[in-house]
Amino acid sequence: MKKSVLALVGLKLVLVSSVAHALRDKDVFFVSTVLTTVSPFLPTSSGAIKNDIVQVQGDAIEALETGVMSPQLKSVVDRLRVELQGEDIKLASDLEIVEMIADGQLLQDN
Amino acid sequence: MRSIFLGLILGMITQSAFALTVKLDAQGLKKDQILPVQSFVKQAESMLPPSFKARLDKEIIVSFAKLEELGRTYRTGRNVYLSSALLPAILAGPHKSAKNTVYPAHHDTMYEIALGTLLHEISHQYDFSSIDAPGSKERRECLAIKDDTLRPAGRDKGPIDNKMPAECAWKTHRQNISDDPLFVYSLSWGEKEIKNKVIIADDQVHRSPNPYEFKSKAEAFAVNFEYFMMDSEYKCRRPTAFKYLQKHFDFDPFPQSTCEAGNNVVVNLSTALSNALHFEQIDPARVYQVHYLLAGDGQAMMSNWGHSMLRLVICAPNRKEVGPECMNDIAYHRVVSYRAGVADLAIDSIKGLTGGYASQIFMLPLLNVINEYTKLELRDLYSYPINLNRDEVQDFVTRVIEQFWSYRGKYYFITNNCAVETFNILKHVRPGNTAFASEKTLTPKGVRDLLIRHGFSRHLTAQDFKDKTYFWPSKQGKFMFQLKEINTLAGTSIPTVQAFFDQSVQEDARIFEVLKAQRKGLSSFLILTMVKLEKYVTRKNMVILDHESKQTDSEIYKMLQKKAKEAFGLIGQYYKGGYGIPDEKEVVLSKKLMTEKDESVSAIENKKAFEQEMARVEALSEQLLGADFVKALKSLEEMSKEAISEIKLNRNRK
Repeated sequence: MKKSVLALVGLKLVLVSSVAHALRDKDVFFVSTVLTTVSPFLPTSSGAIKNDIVQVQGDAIEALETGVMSPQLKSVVDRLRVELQGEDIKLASDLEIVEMIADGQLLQDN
Repeated sequence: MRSIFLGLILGMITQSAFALTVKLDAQGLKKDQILPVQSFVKQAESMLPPSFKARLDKEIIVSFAKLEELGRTYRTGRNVYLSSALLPAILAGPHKSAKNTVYPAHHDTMYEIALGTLLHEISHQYDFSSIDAPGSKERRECLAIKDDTLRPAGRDKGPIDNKMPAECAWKTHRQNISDDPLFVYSLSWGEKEIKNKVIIADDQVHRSPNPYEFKSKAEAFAVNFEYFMMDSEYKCRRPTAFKYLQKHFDFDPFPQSTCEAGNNVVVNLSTALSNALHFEQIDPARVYQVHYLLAGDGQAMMSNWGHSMLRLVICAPNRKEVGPECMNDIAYHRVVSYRAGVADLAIDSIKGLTGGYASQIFMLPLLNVINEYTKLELRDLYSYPINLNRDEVQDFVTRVIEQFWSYRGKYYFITNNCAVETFNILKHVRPGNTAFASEKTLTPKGVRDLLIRHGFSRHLTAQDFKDKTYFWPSKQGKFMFQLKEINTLAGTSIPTVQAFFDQSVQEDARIFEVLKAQRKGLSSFLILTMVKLEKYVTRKNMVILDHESKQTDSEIYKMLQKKAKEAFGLIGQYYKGGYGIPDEKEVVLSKKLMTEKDESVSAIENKKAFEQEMARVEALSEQLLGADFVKALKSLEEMSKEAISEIKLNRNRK
């Protein structure tokens, strides 16, 4: 992984405050339960990517143990490749990307 | 006998020779006013679709009078009355009349208001007339067999719905266009509204061209006809209603219109650990399939029903073809979920049962939905493909986008819940299928069964379960496996996953130290600890919310309410400029407004305010949940971070 090209930036989840609903178990009312701010390390348009990385972090940790990627994780890895393609970033291998997801880090152009 | 025969012939000739004419009753007008007003009336007449004029074969007389409203007409008779207050604008003409600063309609000038009013009133005449729409004959025949208690023509209210056999109700109009269920559904109104219980909702939320349309179905038709005729963007802002009216009248008022469908929605990326809203364009042509998404039984009362959702199988942008490969692009798939929009924070079960909450569409990433159900609620998630052709898929997605911006029904736990709402939108994927449309169900599993019974979907196969793009099992089994590993390595005997979540954080810390020393089992521990952390955070927030919702004057409450409105997607205040689906200009403006909000203060001030907010929330957490809980929460956070570092370290050692 070349440091000049690849930069690992921690995805800090800063808990700010909270919100949302008292009937968490009642799916009819489910919406967000906590309002937090994700540090803006990536451009706003990448909000969806950050979300996806958070969603598959557990899968990534598991994949490093078992060597098997869930379809969700594979899709996020593919998405990272597609979305970051235009940003002049040399892309890492699937394994490296999975490691970064598992470690809570993100690919970013420095 | 001969004269009767001649009279009949003459009558037939007269009927076919004439079409609608709109004439001015000049009484009360000054001499110099007659010509420009006449020209105004003729302009309105000339705009009407040929089929409209041919079907409404009568003479309409336009008069001016002192009215409280802008226009008026009656079911019987041929008179249309316009308010004399509109005269100055009509006399000034289309280019010199004053700007509209008075009426909540999306017409720029007072002349346009006047023209819109006249078209609006004439359209009532069309709607009130006994014009046979396709299918009405079949309906009458159906009713003649089933029940002869058809209510009088033109009556808006009455008990007919209770007596109308379902198979007849779906045969199309009673006699008016505004009674056609397909027209009403094209406006994204809910089931209750169709029965004339119209919600006059928050106008910030309703992106209506004129809130007057919510008065009744008849007014809804008139308002929509007005915009269909006058606004070249109507076809992009209300595509389903446009399509309906275009087909009904066989007419496109603006064939050269270059408006482009915005196709934007706001995706809610909120989870227990993060919150964000994200504008996203959904191109209907890039949606491979629509699936019925069913969350299996859960433990909570309402969860025993399961939960109904819809999955849009959106292809990744790099896919050249829209095809089966798109099933793998899970990160791009979006879920349409009808949920109760609870913006007031204080959630009341009684309100939930009695329709006190608005039912609205939330657009969520599939990844979040998979996590929510399989990890946090330990429920299975099934994805049933719906058999639609390409056109139907595109129409359906357009309808979803339209509903996202316009639909607000009333949520009832039992009678108008997620299953009913999901089924309602599915009913119209194939309008001709009256047998399917006349079905009723209240449960998510009932929707699935009806889809399968009517050939819209199928049972999942063994291959589907294997592929893992149609089915996501509860993580219960996986978590149990991980727990067993922890038990073996740490010498513990935690019997269930729930017991792990319930045990003290001190015990977690002890186990962590053992695993750390062995450099084994840390991944399993981390996965379970992260879920536990999420549960702790959720509990903290619920307690704060519960407390704060009773303290409506507190700063935190105000802040929570503001954020909740965003989280729940009630962000209509950003979009007051237009109606229906926002165009690109509106979206750009909205994004700017959202960004400006964040940038309105300097970074230092932002940081300071943020820290103050944090401190307030933390203090409140300790006050409500106790110091031990707050300490446990922090320990879980630290343990998660440390476990990640340890795992990474071990990986590098290998």
